[in-house]
Amino acid sequence: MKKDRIKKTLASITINIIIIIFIGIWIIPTLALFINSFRNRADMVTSGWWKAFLHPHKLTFSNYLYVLMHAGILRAFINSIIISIPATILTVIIGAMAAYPISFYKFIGRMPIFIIFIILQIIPIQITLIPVLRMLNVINISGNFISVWIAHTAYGLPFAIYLLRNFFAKIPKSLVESAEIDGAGRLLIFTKLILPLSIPVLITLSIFQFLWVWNDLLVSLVFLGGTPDVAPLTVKITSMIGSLESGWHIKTASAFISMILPLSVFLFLQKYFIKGATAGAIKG
Amino acid sequence: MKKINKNILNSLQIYIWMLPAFILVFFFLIKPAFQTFFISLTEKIKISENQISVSINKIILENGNRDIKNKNKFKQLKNWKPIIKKINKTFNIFVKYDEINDEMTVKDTTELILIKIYNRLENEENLTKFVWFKNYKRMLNDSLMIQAFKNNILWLILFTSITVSVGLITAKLFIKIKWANIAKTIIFIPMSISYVASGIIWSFMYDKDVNIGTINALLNTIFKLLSFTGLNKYQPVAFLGRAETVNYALIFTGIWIWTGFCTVIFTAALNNIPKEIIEASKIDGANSIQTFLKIELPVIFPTTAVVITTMIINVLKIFDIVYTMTGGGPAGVSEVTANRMYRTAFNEGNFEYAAAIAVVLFLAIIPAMIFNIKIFIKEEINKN
Repeated sequence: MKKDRIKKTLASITINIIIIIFIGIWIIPTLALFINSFRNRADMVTSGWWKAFLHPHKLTFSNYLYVLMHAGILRAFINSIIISIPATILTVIIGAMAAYPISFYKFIGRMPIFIIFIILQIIPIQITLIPVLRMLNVINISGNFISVWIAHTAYGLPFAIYLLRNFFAKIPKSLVESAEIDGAGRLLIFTKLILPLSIPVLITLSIFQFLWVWNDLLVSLVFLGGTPDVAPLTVKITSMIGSLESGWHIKTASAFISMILPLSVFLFLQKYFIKGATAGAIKG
Repeated sequence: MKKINKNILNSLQIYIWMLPAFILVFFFLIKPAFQTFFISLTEKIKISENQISVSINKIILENGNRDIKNKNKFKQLKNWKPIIKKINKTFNIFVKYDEINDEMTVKDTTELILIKIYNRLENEENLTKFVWFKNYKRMLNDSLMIQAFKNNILWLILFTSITVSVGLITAKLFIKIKWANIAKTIIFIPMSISYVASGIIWSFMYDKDVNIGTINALLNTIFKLLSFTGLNKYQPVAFLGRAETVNYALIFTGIWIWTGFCTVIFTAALNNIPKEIIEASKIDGANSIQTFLKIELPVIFPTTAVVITTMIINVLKIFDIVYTMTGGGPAGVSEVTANRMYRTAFNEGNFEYAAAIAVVLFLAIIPAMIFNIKIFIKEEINKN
């Protein structure tokens, strides 16, 4: 009996160690970037980041201050917020308005329309870029925030409708039916019955869409162009990589600033984000 | 009759709810997809002012009076309206009938048309010619495209197989530790940050300088420790700068980002297996590995299939990682199809060729797409 127990404990310890080493592959790179963002340039090139622990007094916020004040990262951060919030709000509202009838009412073309939205989720954005850019140029809004607001909304709608519809399907139809018998119209049922019941999925969708837009590179790159006054963080950082003026001290701090918001959202609202990211892939 | 009308009326009212979604999705996804396909069948041609004048005169002669002199008033020509129509169509411009006043001669009108054409040319819209599949044929001989296709296949094989298998194994392993949730959270983190941020994290790790690149530093230390065995001094490797290593380095970053996703999904799927099945197999004498291979894997096969196809669709769309970390370098060795498309369209300005590349990308995704949709429709039928 004791032999078994020892075997079990040994096995358990081994697994724990293996997993710790495995997790290290995720922790170490992030830690490396994080620590180096607090070291000045001279330190960074003369010694490895692991040595920073020996000289904690040398850690400094100067990279962050420089990057925010002089390298345009603050502007880029604000741009990212300006881009992400309306895009998220629009997606949730328009998506909910579209998913609502699909889930609760019978009408001509209900299933085909839903299936089309499903198929649209997989279309790669590349196949839409050129004509959309031309269309935006014609209406003269390319380079303007409005273009990315509606672009991101359009690109996000298929997934949004899919996610919302899956949730709405779990709301008992009897609730809707009794509300109809009581004389409530579709708008009232939507606003007073369905939306309040759907707060979990609305949060999930909002978080997911917000992070998706915040982290997006391609759409902003193509539709906003490269001008720094409208560029979001992702575009700004990639533009810094090529240029000669940026050393690692700038890249590390900028990368981390771009990560703070998504990381916080993720860590505090994990449940919702994971639900959104893995929707549809779980069978059963 | 009344019932059918009521049905139609009902549906129309409902369509209003869906109208904003319809409009957005039509103009940003459906219509552009078709347009890109048509653009890919064309080619830009550059022609000189002389050639344009000659074409215009030819159209005028063919459709109007054969006997014109430059002085004649344009509107006196026979068939002047069809002439304008034909010119509008040929050069893709828009001359309105009332822009030509009665006093304008044929020469004046030709100049007006030329100005319109040049305005359009200046807005980057050169004349396009329908060339069928010339752009696609060009891809087969384009060494940069072939390299991109090869890279996509490399990504496809390595990325998909490793993320799925590591995801599966970790899902199994994490069950055995108490801090499973923390572990899962940690490896899921890269899914919340941008590809750009992940790219910078790993560019940093891969850096050639031993003081900056953690991997080179680690190898350097190992070599130093083993120097007593007579091992030569370590030469730092520029993982992102050398053609032999760059693709693997990039693919590893992609794996780093997506493995957590697979782990979470497989964990949920494994948890959904009814406990009785596993106990039954244990009672029958099967050990853990046998249970895993012969019982659990087959049961979660639908999930596995969906994860694999999702990974395939994701890997074909990879753009940000390559763009951020190497820009496709060195010398296009690490470019993937999505990057080639971007570069062709927006750096080289060859929109027609880029459209063809985009279509090929789309075609490559279609099989995985069909598979996913089939499974989805099956689900829906089961639910209803």
